[in-house]
Amino acid sequence: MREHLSQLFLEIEGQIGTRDTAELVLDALLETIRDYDIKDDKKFCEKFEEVIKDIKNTTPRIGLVIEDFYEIWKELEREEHCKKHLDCPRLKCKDLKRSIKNKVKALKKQNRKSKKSITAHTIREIKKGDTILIHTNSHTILDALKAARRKKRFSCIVAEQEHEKTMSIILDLQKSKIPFKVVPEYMLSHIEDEVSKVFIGGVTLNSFHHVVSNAGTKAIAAEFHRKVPIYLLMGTRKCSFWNAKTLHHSYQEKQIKSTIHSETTYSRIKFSHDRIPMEMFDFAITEKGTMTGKAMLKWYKEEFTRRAPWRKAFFSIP
Amino acid sequence: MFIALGIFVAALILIIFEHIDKAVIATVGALLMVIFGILTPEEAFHAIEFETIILLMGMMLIMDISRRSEIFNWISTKLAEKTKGNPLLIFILFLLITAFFSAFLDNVTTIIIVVPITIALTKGMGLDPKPYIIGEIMLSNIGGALTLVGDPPNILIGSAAELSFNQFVINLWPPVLASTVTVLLILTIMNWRTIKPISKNLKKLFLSHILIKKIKYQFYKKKLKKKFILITLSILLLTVLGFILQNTLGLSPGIIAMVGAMILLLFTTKEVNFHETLTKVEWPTLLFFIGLFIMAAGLEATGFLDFISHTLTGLTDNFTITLLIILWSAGIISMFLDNIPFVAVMIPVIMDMQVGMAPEQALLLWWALALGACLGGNGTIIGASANVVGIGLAEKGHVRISFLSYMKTALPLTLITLVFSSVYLIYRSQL
Repeated sequence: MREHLSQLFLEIEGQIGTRDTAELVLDALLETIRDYDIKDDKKFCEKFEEVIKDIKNTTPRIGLVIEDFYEIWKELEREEHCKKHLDCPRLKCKDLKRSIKNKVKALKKQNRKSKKSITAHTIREIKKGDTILIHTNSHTILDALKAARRKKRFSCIVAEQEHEKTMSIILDLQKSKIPFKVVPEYMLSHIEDEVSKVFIGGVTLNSFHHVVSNAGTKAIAAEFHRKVPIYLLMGTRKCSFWNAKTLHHSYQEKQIKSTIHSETTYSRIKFSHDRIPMEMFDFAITEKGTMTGKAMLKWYKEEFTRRAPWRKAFFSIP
Repeated sequence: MFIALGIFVAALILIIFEHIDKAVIATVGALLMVIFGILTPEEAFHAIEFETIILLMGMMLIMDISRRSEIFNWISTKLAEKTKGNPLLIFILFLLITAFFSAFLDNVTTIIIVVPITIALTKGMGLDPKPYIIGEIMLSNIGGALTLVGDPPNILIGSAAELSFNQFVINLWPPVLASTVTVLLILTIMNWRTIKPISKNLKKLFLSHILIKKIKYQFYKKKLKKKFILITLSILLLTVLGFILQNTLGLSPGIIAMVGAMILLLFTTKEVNFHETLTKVEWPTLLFFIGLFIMAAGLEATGFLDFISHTLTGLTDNFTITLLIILWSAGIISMFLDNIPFVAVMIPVIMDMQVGMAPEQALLLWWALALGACLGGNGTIIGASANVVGIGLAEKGHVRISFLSYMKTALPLTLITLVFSSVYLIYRSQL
């Protein structure tokens, strides 16, 4: 199941982004709990722990999903503790199911709240007449831009990438009546002077202090680094508070390409993500507010240290 | 006679090897019939069954517009949602919906709609998609046998013998229903280990719920045009109603299909570009049919088909045995060869055989041919276009179904469906 989950998460994250992937997984969990036809509470706990085990061992781990499941696991642990030490009579399967359901609903609410805060902070950062360069098909960015459009006049430049992802951004911008133009990502050097801000969405910030983002983003960050402010838009619950295994771990897709006009075939390698050092970001907009890249990194390092016990508890489950 | 026979056999062999497009082969064959003087240009022109061509063209137009409205994908997505990831329900519902769709759509279109979503669902859940795909292919051919528009052999037979949509349904539902239920039941039993319900398996249940959500997201992000769907669905239903009321309306199925297509085009001018839709008509298929009609007429003109029909009727005086010969020869030949040329050749043979017969008896000959050609196509991977397309889609989804592995499941089931048809035809011939 682990491989299937990993593959699914990778595909879904590529299509709808991290935040919506986590939301989709929570919704699926609610429906699973509803449809799971078992009355034995012990067995239920065992099986649920197996699911958590698979989730936390998916590759790549999606920070927000892991964080959600950690919270749910904590809820279960509390119930287990209640059972073991207090001989609590309320530990019935339906009670466990109810606890999980309530926790999931609370997490969804928390995620929605985080999204609203990021949007509000982003609106504050956008100034009249700004030209914002966007590349990642990030719902966090697009939602914030949509909301900002109602209050401020600005325009966007879309760095063209994979057709489907670019089209998705274009359709969203058109729907929100945000003026924009599209420039191929390899031709951005020609419009450097027009850009006033760069917005990049993040999948996670990992223990190497790298922001994982859409493939192609690193080149954009490098292009505009120290020229215009680069913003990271990401909720802090997306951060990975475990030790990443490898520095460069992208998922390659090898394709054999051929063209109609010639017999030539060649190997084409595509990568799933880019990793951008946090230092390259001038600012980070999170639900906590706007902070400098350095402040974000400092917060992350402190939080990483603070999280050592949960890391040990959660990831040490066999 | 030998030149005509030579042209036909050579065309048939070339069609089997698939090195050259079959539309080109049929057209060249038809031209050779004229060049060698077997048919005059006028005779060749008159040999074309325009009723069939119009019916095919009308249905192709309707199907293309319906496909664009996303109505069939909407039904499949809703179905996936309703199954709640239960493999048994996915199996049963998807097989039944395939049979239902293919009764009204052409089998290839049905397979193109259902197979990709099945692969996505089953593979994502860690299930083996093979039994699902094989089942869908088989049910598409069985479902297609039910109606006049379900399968090209039926279109050919219906147009040539002037049989109505209702006549097909009324006469063919017993063997089609028996075959559907039996195939579904046997496949369920054979694959029980992989398709049994998962409501007690938390991991699989969770995985399947994630998958269904993913499929729903992929589909719903397309922005459905409700008005377009409503118009398409209404006109589709009206067209089917037109087929049912064909005798009362006094219109041929081809005209009804074409009227349906034109009304649909008129009401969907905003959503559909007429020129683009016209390019979606499978002109090579229509050309293939035209070529076949002319080649079959060439064979008929030489008296070869009379010879076949006399040989068939001369084999036995027993009408029931004649029926079984037609059914089984059509069935077995359709397992290995394209059933369309076979049916095209058999139509004049049966036309000749039915002379002097009671109308009820004559009808049974057509049903035997229709059942044999449609159900026999299930026997092997190459038996019908839906099989080839289904296997191709499976391969695209990294699911390999070999000739033998398909045959191992499908051939015994095909023989069972042919046995059901035999029992039905024997019963009908004794009435």
